[in-house]
Amino acid sequence: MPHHAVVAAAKTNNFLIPNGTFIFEWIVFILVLVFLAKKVFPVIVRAIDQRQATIAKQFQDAEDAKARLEKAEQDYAAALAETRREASRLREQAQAERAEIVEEARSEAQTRVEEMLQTAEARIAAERQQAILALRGEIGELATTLAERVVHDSLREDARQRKLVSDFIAGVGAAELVESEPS
Amino acid sequence: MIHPLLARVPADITVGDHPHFKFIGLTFNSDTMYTTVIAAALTVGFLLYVARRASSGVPGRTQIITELVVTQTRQYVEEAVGHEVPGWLVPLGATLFFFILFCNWLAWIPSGHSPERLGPPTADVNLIYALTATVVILYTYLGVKRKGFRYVGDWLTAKPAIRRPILILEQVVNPLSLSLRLFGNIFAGGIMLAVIALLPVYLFPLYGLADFGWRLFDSGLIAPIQAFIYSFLTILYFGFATAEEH
Repeated sequence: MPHHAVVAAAKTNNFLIPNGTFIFEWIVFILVLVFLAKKVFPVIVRAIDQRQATIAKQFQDAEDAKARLEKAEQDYAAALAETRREASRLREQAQAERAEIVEEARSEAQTRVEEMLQTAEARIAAERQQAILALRGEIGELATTLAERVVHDSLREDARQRKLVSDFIAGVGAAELVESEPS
Repeated sequence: MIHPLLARVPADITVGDHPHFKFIGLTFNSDTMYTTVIAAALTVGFLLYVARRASSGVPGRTQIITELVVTQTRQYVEEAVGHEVPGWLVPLGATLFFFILFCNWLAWIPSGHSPERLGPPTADVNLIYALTATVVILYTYLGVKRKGFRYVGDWLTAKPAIRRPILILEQVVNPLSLSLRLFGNIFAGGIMLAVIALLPVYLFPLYGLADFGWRLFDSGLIAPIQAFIYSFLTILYFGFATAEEH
């Protein structure tokens, strides 16, 4: 076994004690460490940090969107409630107005009816008065004619006879008025 | 009497032997040197590949793994050291993890030699002491920078007094245990392969199975676990070095 010859000199060495290899190993490790620390790890760390920042931002965006949605829902509910209140108020107002209009119309109609009644009554009274006056004249004529025929004599010239007829007619008219206007 | 087939198996398991050469009076383990360079090239190559393709969008599989390591390292560092984390600490932790992992994974490559010519360089204390020396120097630097003289003063004034010798002892025990834990685990993996190789020749199908099974276990489980423990404890020691006494 040829390698035994190579390693023979090392046989007396304690394998826990370092030798010159230590210097070489240290140089190699320091070179690796410095190169990686300066050139490689910053790139990897930057990628990690950027990703975490992106994730954090996306998370934040999602939170914001959720908050906006909630706010929109609240606004919608508030608007809906407001609209309902407004509609209810309008309905009540309309009912009140309708009642008012109906009441107004009714009282106006009542007034007109009363006015018409009064006019009619006044006209009836006037017409009656006229009729009475006309009747009075006519009755006088009739009575005179009747008396003439009864006594076969003209009483037109006699003032005393005329007065008698007038009194008679006045008596008849007074009795008529008392009958038609019972107080 | 030993069976003739058994007698032909080389029963000498060599421990800590390396092909080596002498240079300016120092001994250099050539196998550890070139396997270290291979592992370093793999580490740098892998991380460069990830960094080149790194995107802040949907990451690829290698990027996910790398980011997981970096993110975890950052979290441990923040928990251990707290405020004003120096910019090199997370790269140190992550570099240690990936470098040790790639070193350990070299055990997967069979060299057909005993001792292994392509064995993991983490099975040689030279590499591990170099790593630990870096770690100790940096955490002492950070501790002194944060606490000044109190970095040493705290060991001498800690209460209760029984903690004082323990704290001083820790300054030696922590780096030593950090080194030897990694070394022992990876070194033992190599010895396991040598032991499996001692199976009698007539059991050679079992040898293949055992060799494969052990390499799978060693590189699939032991290698990442040891890489994790080493870098995790490193960060923990930075935490001890900067912790304030209450």
